[in-house]
Amino acid sequence: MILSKVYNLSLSAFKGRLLLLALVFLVSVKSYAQSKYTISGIVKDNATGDVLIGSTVSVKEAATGTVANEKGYYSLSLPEGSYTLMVNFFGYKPKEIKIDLKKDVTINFSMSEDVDELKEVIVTTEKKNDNITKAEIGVEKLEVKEINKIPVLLGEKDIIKSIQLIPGVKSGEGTTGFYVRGGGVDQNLVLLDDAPIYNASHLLGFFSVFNSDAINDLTIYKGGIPAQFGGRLSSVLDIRSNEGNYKKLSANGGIGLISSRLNIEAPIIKDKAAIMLAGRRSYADLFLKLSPEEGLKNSKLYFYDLNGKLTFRLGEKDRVFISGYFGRDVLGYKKLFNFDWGNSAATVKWMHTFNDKWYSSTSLIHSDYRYRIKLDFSGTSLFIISKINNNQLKQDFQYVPSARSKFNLGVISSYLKVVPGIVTTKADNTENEEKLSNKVGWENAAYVSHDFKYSEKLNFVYGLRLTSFSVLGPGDFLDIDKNGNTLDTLTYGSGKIVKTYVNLEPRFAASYIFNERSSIKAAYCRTTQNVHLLSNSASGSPTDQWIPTSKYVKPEIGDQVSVGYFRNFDENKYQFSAEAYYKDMQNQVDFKNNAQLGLNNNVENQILIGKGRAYGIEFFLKKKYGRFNGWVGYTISKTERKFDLINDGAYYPAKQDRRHDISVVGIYELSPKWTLSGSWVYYTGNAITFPSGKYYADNRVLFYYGDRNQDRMPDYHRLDIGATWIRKKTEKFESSWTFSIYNLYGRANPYMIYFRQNETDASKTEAVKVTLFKMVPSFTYNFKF
Amino acid sequence: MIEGAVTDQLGPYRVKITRKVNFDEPNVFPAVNGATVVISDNTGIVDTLNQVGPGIYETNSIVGVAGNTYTLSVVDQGNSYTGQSVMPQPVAIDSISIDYFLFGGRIQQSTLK
Repeated sequence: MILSKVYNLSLSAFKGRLLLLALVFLVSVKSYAQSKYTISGIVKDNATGDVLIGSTVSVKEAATGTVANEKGYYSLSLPEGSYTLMVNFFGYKPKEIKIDLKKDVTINFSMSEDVDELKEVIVTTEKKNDNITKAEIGVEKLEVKEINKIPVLLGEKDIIKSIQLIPGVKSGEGTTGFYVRGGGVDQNLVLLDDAPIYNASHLLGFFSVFNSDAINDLTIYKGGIPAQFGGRLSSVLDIRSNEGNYKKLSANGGIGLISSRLNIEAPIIKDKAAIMLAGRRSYADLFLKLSPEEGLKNSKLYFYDLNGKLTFRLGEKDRVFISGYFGRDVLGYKKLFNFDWGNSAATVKWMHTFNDKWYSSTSLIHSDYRYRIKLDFSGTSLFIISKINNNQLKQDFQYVPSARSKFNLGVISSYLKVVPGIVTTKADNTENEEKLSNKVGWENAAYVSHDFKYSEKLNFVYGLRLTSFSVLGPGDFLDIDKNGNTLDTLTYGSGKIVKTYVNLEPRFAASYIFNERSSIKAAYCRTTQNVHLLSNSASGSPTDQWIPTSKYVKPEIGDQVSVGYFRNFDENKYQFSAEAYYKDMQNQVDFKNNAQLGLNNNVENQILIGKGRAYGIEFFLKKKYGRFNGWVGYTISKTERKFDLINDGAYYPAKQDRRHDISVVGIYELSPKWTLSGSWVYYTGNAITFPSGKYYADNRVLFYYGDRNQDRMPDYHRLDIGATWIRKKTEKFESSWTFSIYNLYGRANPYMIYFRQNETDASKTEAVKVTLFKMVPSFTYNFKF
Repeated sequence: MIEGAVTDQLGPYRVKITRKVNFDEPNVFPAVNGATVVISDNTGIVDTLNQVGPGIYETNSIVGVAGNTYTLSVVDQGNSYTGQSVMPQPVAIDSISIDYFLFGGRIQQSTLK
C-alpha cells in the first residue's frame, strides 16, 4: 500500500514536470508564431553552381543569422521591417543586400570565389565552434583540400591514409584497412555516394580504392552514429564524390611515381546538367615490360579505377545524380597465373524539396566486390570466382519544422548475395564445375532521428533504428552449437525464409554547452551487423570471405557509450577534445585454431562465436585556421575478445589491440608558393601470437604456439615530410610539384616477424623481422585548368 | 612430444618421447626416460612398451589391423597423456601422375601406372 502510494506520488510529480515542459514548449512555439515572415533561399557558387553548404546568412539589424544546410538552403524568420542581409562563405566574396520584409520571400544568392583569399583559407562547411555546440560526438569531417597536403607513401595522396591519423582510428603499415575504437576492419561502413564498398584496398593494401581527385569530402563517425546509418558495428566513413561543374570545363590531374590520374568536370547543359569523370591507373607494369628479364617482362601488377558522376538540376526543387565507381587490381604471370579483384558501385539518387520544411531523397544503390583466379598449365586450367553483391532501395526524408528542430526518417531495403566460390576445372576436353552454395540475405530497416536544440545550452540528437535480417534459401543450412559442431542440416527452397532476426537500435547524443568555448557531450548507440568478414591475416587479403548472418552466425550487436569534453582556445583557432568510450560487442566471429577456410562449403563450422569489449580515451588538439594547421592526437585504449574455446575462455587481446597511439600532423604555408608539411606517428605494438617453444616430431623442429595473442610487435614510429610548390598560378592554369619523403629517419619498422631455422646453423632457430619502407622519396606533378 | 605409429606391418613399433624447449634455446630436445607407455586396442589387446634407448619405447607383441581403434597412454612423473586413433582401410592406388612447372619455365608432365 505504502509502496504504491509513493509510486503514485512520484508519478504525479513526474506528470507535473511533463506538463511544465509542455507549457514551456507551447510558450516558445507561440512566441515564434508572432507576425513573422520567412526569408529563405539557396546559396550557390556562381561559377560551378554548387550549393555552398555552411554559408552564413546574417541580419545586421537583428543580430541574428543562420547557416545554409546540406542542400545550401537557408531560412530565417523575422518580424516585418527593413533589414540588411549579409552572406558569407570562406573563400568567397561576401554579399550584402537590403530588403523590406512585408511577406515571405525567396532570395537566392550567387557567390563568387575570392581568388586571392581562397589559398589563405581552408574551405569549411562548419561554423567555427560547431565542434562545441553540436550534439554529435566522435565525428570528424575532413575536406580533401586539407588532406592533400599531408605527406604520404610514394606521393599517392590517399583519404584513408589520412583518416588513420585521427585518434581512435588505427592501422598498420601497408594496409588501408582500419580499426575504429577496437572494432574490426569489416565493422566499418565505407560508403561512396551511399554505396557500400566491401574492399577499400588496392595493391594488397598499400593504397585505397578512392581517387582523391574525385572526392569532395568525407566524414567519419566513430561514436554517436546517427540513426540514418546502420549495418556495421564500429564506424561509418561517408565519402562524397565531386559534383561536376555546371558552368565551364575544368580538369585537374597528376603524374606520380605509382600512378597518373585525370579528373574532368564539365557542364552538359549549362546550369542544368554536369558531368565528372575521374580515372587513375598505376603503371609499374609498363616498366616491367621494358625489362630484359623474361620473368619480369611477362608479369602483370597494376590497378586502375574510374569514378563518374552525372548531376542534373531539374528546376529549383529537384536534383538527380548518377554516380558510378569501377576499380580493379590485376596480378598475373603470362597465362599461367592471373588474379584480379575489385569493387564496382553505382548510385542513382533523386533529391526533392517539397517546401522549406520537407526534403526527400530516393536512392537506388548497387555494389559488388569480386575476385577471380585463373591458373592455366598446358591444357589443364582452374578458374575460381567469388563475389558479394548488394542492391538497395532507400527512401530518406528530412523535416525541418524550425531552426531548432530537424527530423531525419527513412526506410531501406537491401538484398545481399554472396557467391563464396565457383571452381571450374578443365582438363583435356572435360570440364568440371564445383560450386559452393550461395548465401542470400534480405535486410530491411526503418529509422527516425530528431536533432533538437532544447535551449541555448542543451542540444539532443536521439533516434531509433529498427533492423530486420532474413536468411533466405535456397540451400542447406547447418544447425551448429556454440562450439562449432554441426548438429543437423536442413534444406530450404529458393526464396524461403530460413530465419529472421529483428533488432532495435537506439541512438542518443547530447551536448551541454557551458559557453561558446566549452561543452560536454555524451552519446550511446547500439549498432548491428549482418555481414561478417572472415580474415586470418592482420592486413587483410583480397580473398577474405564475407559471410552473411545465418542460423549459426547471429547478427553482431555493438553498444557504445562515449563522453567527451570539448574546449576551444584563442577564438576557435585551437580545438581540444577528450573523448572516452566503452564498447561492448556481442556475436563476434573468430576462427577455431587450425581452421580450414579455403573453398570450404561448411565454412561455418570453422568459426567460433564470442564477444568483445573495447575502451579507451582519445585526446585531440587541432589547429584549424591560419597559415599553420595541424593536429596532435593521442589514444590510450584496450581491445579484448572472449571465446569459450580460445585461451580457456578468458579475455585476450584482439589483434588490433594497441595501448598507445600518437599522431602529429603539421601543415605550414611558408609563402603563397610553398607549403610544407610533416607527420609523425608512434604506436606500441599490436597483439600477436609468437611461438612460445619448439619440439621435435617427424624428424624436424616444429614451433609450439601457446595462447592466442599473448605477444606484442615492437613499437612503431615514423616521420614523413612533404612540400608543395606552386610553380605557376593564373586564372586559367595552375601547376604544382609535391615532394615527399616517407620514413625520413629510416626507422626499420616491422611489417611482419616470422620464425625459421637458422640458415647457417641448423641447431638454432631465429626470429626474422621484415621491414618494408626505409626512407622513400617521391615527387608528383599536379595540374589544374 | 609423444610420437609413435602403429601400422598393419609387423612390429615392433616405436614411441619416441621428448620435451619441448624455449624458442631461443638450441635444437636439443631432452628425452623422457622412465615413463610408462601402453598401447591398447578395442579388441582387448594391451601392450606395455619397454624402453630401448633415450626416450624410445618399443612394443612387444601388438600388430596393427585396419579398422581397429588404438589408444596410446603415457604416464610420466605423475602426468598422464592419452591419444586415440582408428587405423583406416588401405586405399588401392592405380596410378600416380605428377605435373610440375618452374615459374616461367617449361612445363613437364609424367605419369606412372
